[in-house]
Amino acid sequence: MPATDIVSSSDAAHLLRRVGFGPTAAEIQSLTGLTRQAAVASVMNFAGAPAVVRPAVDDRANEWDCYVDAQEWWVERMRTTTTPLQEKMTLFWHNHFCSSQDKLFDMGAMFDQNQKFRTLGMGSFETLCQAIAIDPAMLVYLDNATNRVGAEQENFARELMELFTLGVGHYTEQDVIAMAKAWTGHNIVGWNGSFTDPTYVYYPARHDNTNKTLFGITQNWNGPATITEICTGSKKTECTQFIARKMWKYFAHTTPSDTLVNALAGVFAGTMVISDLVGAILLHDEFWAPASRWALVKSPVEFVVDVLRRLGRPSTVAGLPWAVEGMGQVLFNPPNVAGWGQNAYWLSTATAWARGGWLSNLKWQLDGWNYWDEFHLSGGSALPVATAVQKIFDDLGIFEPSPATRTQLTSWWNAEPTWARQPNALIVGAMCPEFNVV
Amino acid sequence: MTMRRMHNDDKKRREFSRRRFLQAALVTGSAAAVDPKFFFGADPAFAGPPLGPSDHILVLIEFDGGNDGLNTLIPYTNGSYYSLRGGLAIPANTVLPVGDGLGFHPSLPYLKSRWDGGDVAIIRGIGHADLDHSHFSCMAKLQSGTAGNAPTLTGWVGRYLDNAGLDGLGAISVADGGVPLLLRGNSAEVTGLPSWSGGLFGADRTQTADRVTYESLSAINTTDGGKGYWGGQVGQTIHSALATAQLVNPIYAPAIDDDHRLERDLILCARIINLDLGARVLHVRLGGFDNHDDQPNDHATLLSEFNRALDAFFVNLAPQYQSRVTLATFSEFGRRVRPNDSLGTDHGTASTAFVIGSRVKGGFYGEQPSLTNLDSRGDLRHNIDYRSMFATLLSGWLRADDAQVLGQSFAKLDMFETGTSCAAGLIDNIPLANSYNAIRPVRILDTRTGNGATKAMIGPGGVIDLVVAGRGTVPPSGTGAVVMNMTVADPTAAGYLTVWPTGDARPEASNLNFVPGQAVPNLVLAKLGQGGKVSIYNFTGSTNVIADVMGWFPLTNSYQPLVPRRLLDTRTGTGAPVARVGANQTLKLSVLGRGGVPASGVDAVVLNVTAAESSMTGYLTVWPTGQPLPNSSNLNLAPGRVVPNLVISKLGNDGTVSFYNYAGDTHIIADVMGWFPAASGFHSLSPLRILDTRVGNGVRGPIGARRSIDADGLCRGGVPSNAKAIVINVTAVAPTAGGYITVWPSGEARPDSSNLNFVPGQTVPNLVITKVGIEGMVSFYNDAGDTHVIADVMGWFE
Repeated sequence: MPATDIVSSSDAAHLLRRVGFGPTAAEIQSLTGLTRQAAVASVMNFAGAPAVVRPAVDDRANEWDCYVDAQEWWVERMRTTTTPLQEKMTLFWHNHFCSSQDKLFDMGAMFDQNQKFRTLGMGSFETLCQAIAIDPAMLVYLDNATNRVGAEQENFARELMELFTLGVGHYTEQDVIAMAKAWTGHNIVGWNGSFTDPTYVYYPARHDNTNKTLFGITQNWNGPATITEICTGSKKTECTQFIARKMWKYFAHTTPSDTLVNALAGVFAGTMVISDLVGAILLHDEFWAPASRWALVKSPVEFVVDVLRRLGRPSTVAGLPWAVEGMGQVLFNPPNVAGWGQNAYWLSTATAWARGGWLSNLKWQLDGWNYWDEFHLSGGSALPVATAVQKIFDDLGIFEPSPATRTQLTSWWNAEPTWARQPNALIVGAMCPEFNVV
Repeated sequence: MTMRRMHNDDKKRREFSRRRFLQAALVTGSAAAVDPKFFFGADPAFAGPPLGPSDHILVLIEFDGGNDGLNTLIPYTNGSYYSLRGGLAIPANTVLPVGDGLGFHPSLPYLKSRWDGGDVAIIRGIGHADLDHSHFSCMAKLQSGTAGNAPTLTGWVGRYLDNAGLDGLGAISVADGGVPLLLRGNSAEVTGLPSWSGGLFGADRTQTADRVTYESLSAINTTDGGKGYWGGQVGQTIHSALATAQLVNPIYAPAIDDDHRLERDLILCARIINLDLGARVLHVRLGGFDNHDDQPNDHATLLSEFNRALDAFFVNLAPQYQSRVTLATFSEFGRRVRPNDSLGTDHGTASTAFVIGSRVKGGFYGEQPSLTNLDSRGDLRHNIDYRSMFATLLSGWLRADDAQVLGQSFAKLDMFETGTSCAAGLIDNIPLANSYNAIRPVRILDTRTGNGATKAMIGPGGVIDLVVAGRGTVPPSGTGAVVMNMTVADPTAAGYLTVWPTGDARPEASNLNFVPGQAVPNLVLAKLGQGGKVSIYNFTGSTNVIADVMGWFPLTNSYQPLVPRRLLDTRTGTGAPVARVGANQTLKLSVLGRGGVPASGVDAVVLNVTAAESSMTGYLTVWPTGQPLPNSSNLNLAPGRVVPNLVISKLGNDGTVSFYNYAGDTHIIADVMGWFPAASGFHSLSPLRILDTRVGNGVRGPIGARRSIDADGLCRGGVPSNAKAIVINVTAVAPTAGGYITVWPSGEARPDSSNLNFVPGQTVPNLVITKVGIEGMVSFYNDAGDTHVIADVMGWFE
């Protein structure tokens, strides 16, 4: 049974890269020698998760500061948590049920939504979906806040099916109209054309109580019942396939076969519990196969968190959020409701400049804090070259460097002026292919 | 404090923080998807694709925050404006009148001067049916530019780049804060450049330490890191970024005063264009238009910034680009007609946009929205959809397929003057010359479908007589010869076709040579025989034959077709000794007085040249004796293959043409098909390469599957602006899949014909005579896979 296969150190590193933000040698060691089942159970155990201390996101007179604080808070949590999969799941749902501070200008509401992803992100999919549907940030972001009988707003209704549960081709335009009517009256208080601490409220008088035909079923549909129908009724198969495909692409690789997706969806459909789907993915043979290894480009957030972990530096040195904007991913601010993409989406000359530029900037910031002595990569410019290069790999968590990269790093060390070896080690190490795929 | 106020403060804070952060020396840029197959970054020689001489450039200016169209283009003669706008109204005696009761804001004197020069299109009442007053979703809708409202990961400029197959410098955003959705494509890569000088990762190599680091990174990211496909793509991306940084870095010197952000960014754009890096679309951004309060001062400052930036842009733009650039403004929405209680305006709907450039047809587009028929929220009603403007820019200026980019066809505005300065007035309405009449290609024979002949293959020794006169737009009488592209399909044996005038004896000559199973085309200039027919003979095996007629010659004063005669055969000693032509050798062929060609008065001859028994891969070049050997090719040789191609060559002063063999040795056969007298209306040229997508001559990068490119036919290689049709030898290089290429005049619908057929990896040429399309452009369509294309011009018709 593959689930009983013993995890090698390479396997452990693979698993930890996918469920976390750059594993340390010690973390890899702790899973090495376990069965796959035990290793996966270990990373899925959130019992030791650090407590969530609400950041300073509620000062409505200083939304900018709130925005920065929230980003630094989340990146710091990603960096330091002992249960990184919890944050990976939160990030997944943030990119799935998108909302954006750019539209909200209410970081408190954005954070509340984020915390729902964190607490509900491994539980019942229907529970999560129901919670997000009436989440104030979502109500504002996709305009259901103003959806009322006689003045229907289809924005949320459409995305609920297209992006959140089913995908294009699994609903009709008629369904969008019916869905919008079903969600009339699910609004917020505090809406006066602008935003004042929105709170969900259902106004029966604003609800369209006529019979509507959704998915071919005619009745007086009301919001939550539509999600129940999707998650447990006639649309369940399509929903599980849609979510299973996206989740697989997030954790394993971006080209799953229909057979694979359908099998995962079958498992998911058994309970509709998200952790069951995640477990099925992480224990699937193909997750451990060569096709899944190094198959994902490290996202900007993963890149930043990984570097900070290697340096042992807090998120406040990262220059969030502008530092990561150039790389293409600002937390709490996806570009639109479709969220961020994967792999090729992250690759351009501009994003490469941004990664390199961020490292260059970080290098000199660190210099101000006794960089020479404290930086893990230090060890003396006079180290024997082979030792120095191995140390760079170790310190950046590049546990499986290619011989070619080792040769090139060796040439670099020999050619680089002595004084510049240590500061530039961060740049050459973190800008090689090995550091930028997971 | 109202929420509105907070919103504004937040914007300011954000601006402040951004600037502070940038001063901390951090580079910004942003993400875009990239299809690695368009990467040429590994070789800096490939990193600078020049624009063709008539390629157009679009600069998009984004007004962030929602520009108040009513106070930009002011209806100063409309009393309702003053009664509704109250204290925010711009006094009538200060506006800069532009006619129709409208005037520019007093901060726009430069724009007014360009308007007076006929260079400004004013689009009035522009908007979108689904604008919901949200900055975020309205801007996302405009930038997506899709037919529906579905959110997308791509913007309309990005999809334009996808279709054009342009590389990373095809579109450049010069705007702090990253590349917008607008420029994101599915496969295109775009470049986001910071506004400030210095700090572009990989650019500054003056210090040894930096140089060593960057050079090492280039080396590291060139080697195979052993981390799979995506590891390789990461490496290529980083490598390319390092090379590109050096290419674009010159735009940052000399330093530009940082006080006026849009001016600085547009000067950088002008410098990018001047560098000729191949940028087709540039994007800049001016923020701060969300004038909820203090609008009179803030808005005037912003418009003044726009005005001086425009002026600076044209001051800094090199003369050769002045007529090649169009600028266009857009903003997510306009503002409410009635002011709010903070001396500002709230989010509205319809607004005003400008399109500026010397090729723009100045004037008003769209109607000024009514101030008395407002919508339920007190907003202006739009009458032009933003996507109509985008479709106009795509189709009218960038010559792209706007419907493909936007997902459906939107009404377009007649906004651009057609005709380049060197090709002015030649587009349409040209009377047919008495030399050569290029027509829209028509398929007149297809034995696979029974078009023009029985639906059956031509068997061994079989002949069909094809009626040509009266088919398509070939006249029923008065036609001396026609130009046809003939293709064999599914031949069962290695053989050849001969085409000759019906009624004459079949000559010893060949037009197409083929091997079993392969589709092979060749251009044929065929004299019409009895009944306006040509006869087609198949030597052996069975084959289908297809013929697309491309044009015709009148009987008199023009092309003089002959019954084909073999003038050269190095296998038999015809026209030259029995000997293979060796590598780097040149063979001279006399044509005057031979095979029906007169002894004098001949400007050019039409030869069907065939290479046989070639020893290795190479090419032949045919050119007028005495001229320098041109950088062009006519036939591409492959070991063991019999390769034909039609050649139209000017004669040298001694009445001969020369054949140059590049590599290996080969036999050469040449059949004369006809000749052009000195005053035939045909002007032969010593060949010149006018298109080479491998190196960026004209267009850079291969043509993707089902994509087309436009290349300049005119103003290059000695072709004058009054040319009506051109003779080009087109070669497909390194196609990745079996397919075909269609060549046709730009601006016309693509005909259902083919000019070249190829199999993967095979380099295949064919002669093409094509009418020239709009602005002297000729379009090339590739059916499948990716292929590079080369075109060598051989002559032109009046």
